[in-house]
Amino acid sequence: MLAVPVLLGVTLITFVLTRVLPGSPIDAIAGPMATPAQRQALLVQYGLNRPLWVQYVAYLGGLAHGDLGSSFVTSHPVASDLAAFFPATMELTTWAIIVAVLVGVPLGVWGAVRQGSWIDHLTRVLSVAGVGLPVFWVSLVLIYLCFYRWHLVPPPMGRLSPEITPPPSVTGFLVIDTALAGDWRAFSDAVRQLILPVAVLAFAAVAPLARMTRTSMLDVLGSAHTRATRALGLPPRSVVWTYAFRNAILPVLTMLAIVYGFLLGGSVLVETLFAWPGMGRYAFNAISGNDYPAVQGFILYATGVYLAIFVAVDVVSALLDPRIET
Amino acid sequence: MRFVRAGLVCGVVLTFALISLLPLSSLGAASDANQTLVVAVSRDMQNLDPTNASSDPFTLETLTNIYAWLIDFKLVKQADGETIGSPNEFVGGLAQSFQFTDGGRKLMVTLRSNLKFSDGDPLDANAVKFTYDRLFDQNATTAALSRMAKIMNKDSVKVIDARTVEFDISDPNTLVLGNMAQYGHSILNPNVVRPHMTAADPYAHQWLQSNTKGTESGPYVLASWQPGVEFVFARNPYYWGPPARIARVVFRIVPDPSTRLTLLKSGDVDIARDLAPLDEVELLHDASVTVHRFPTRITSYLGMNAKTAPFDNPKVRQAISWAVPYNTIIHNVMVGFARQLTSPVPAGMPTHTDQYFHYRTDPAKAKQLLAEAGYPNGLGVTFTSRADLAESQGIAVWLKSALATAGITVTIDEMQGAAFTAALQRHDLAFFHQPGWNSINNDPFYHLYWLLQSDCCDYTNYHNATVDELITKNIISTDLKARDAASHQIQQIAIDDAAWIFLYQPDLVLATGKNIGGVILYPADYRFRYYYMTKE
Repeated sequence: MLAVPVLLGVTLITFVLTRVLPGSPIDAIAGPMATPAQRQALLVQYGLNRPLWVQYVAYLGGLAHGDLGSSFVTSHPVASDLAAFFPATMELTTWAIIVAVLVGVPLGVWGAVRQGSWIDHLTRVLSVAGVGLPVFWVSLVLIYLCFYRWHLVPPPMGRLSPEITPPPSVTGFLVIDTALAGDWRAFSDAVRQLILPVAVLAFAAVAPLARMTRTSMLDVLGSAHTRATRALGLPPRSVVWTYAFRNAILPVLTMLAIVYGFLLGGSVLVETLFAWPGMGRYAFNAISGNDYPAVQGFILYATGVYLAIFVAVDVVSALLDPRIET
Repeated sequence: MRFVRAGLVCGVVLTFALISLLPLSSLGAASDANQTLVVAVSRDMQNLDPTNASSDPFTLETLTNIYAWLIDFKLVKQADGETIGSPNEFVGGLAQSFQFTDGGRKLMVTLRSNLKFSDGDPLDANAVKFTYDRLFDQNATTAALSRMAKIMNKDSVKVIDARTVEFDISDPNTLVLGNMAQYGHSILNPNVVRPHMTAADPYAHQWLQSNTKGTESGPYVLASWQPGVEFVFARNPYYWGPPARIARVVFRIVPDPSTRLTLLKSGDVDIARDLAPLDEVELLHDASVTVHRFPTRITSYLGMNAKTAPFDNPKVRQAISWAVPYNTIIHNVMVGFARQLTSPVPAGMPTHTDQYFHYRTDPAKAKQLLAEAGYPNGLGVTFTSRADLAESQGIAVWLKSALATAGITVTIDEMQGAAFTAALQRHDLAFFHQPGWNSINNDPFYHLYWLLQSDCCDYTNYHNATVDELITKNIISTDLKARDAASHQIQQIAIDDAAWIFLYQPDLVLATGKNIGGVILYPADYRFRYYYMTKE
């Protein structure tokens, strides 16, 4: 129930912040040859001549009806814009998170179980690299090697190569939609377009997950109850997975939620370098054009995503840990 | 632990298996590859309403390729063998013929016969009338430009018969054809547009912002537009002229310049727009790529606000003009893709002369002028550069070091694009870089009106009564001799007064694959016409 005041607060803050930004959307709309009279007419047309609080109330009124307003720049409804750009980010991020979990969590567990082993060191090196190497640099190197030199992946031109016809949209996930449509050429293109950006994002996401898993596992493995299970002569596999891992997973889950939410906000750099039509680029364009409704819509969306993920994490935590009461 | 290891191994094996199972390189069927041109562009289009379009380059280029207007630029072969769309000579576009009558007070336009819109509807005098009625009702940019050429309102546009339209010109002038030869005068299909005119949106602006279907009249139609992803041109089957050579043009939005460069070098796109200047220099040596370089008459200058100290003192402006590192900027910042601007009227525009330009980089002379201006110990100024433009930032750096040798301390203030434009519009900037102004009408007084007439737009607040009077007197005039003399006089005054610091005219650069031909420059608007292009 906290969600409502949070969302209201966010709308108020973004509303004020966008208006405080230097520059006006009218500059982008009107162009350099507009006369003052034309600029005034545009102000009236977009309702920007009204007092701020009137504009804010009108905006909230629209929100109550699910109307996010229309972009000043393109005049498309913001809600439909978000719906168009969201699947691209959702698909990219989801695959990246899946890969990051599949790689990061086992690495973290292994590092904790075999402390000081080569795999532990490897995990540490990978984590440092994942955090330390700039995403744009990794992207450029991967594009140069995997595309330009070795031709392993198709040209980085977005979700599908230009000559591929997109499948009818069902889930918004092109990998799933192309499979549902039975269009295997498009399926293969969609998967191959995903490989590099997913690898880059997963690489960055592995680090926090692996480190969190390792720390949390070390805590649990050193605890009294784990010692007890060992003393009882349980097989190591069951000590690690049944008893230790399940206890260690909660902080990892929270970290996962933070990383997932962060990535769903769109990674401007990755989306820019791979020409990925996602939320990050949408937000970037909206901010540079002072497109108030688009910026507000995006931030509302990002807030919603965070809230939804944290609710989901709370529910899963409660399932995993009976001590947590909802 | 065995499980963990097994899991990892399985994962790695599965991933590789998946990748290797995917069929390699499934690029489009070779048969139609030569019929499709793929262009990597830096950004999306925005607002396609021809009479009130957004001023971003790809919106305007699209309008230029999918719409047609009555008067167009004439293709002429230059002395060097290159064909260009001359900015000074006009032919009929949709018009079969046109002529001024009544001493230049009337422009009679006869349409070609059997013209059609892209949905097959007839394009006749009624469509022209509809277009101009809407344009004047809407009263946006194009209406202002029409009035500037003394076509004052809707009553000035009269249907004589199905193929003849009369334009009344209240005061004969030389601006008419140049102001009409552009996207704002795109003829619209009343059958398609009128149903979208509502009480809330009387000019169908909302619809035309993102729709063109059925109302296109140019060589291409806009076949599809996925915002943020791509937009696609297809041949217009009803176009009156020679059909576009290439059937489809796909514009992919690839925001990162290094990705666009890689795509061009690998041959996955035919044209890459807006590359980094240094990359373009490097491409000059790439055998698989052609770098087309065209000189422009785009005007790039440093503005000094003549209403704020110390720039209100002409001696200070002159001193800075003697301290600016012109050659360094052209060679290091513009990597040679520019030439010196020597006058407010750029080279390539009628009446241009460089006989009055005498500034070069001479710190001693600058110091002496500063002393005469009352600053014997130098002074400090703040320079505003655009944070989103590499050349603007480069200029700021070289300017700072060069002006320091003349005793002027420069503080660099960076502004984001939107904030910069806003401040520029308010005439608030004290010392700034104007990266490029292009006058679409290649008429010196049209150009001077926008840049130096103090009651118009003049972003530098420069005011000189003689200049103002000469512009007002000659802008609406057909006396070419008087215009020539007046333009020379204005050029001399503006240069002597150091109204601006005259920096450069940048080159227009287009990098294409070797197999792409038919790149024709239109020096009036600098927009590429894809319908001339060929792919071997």
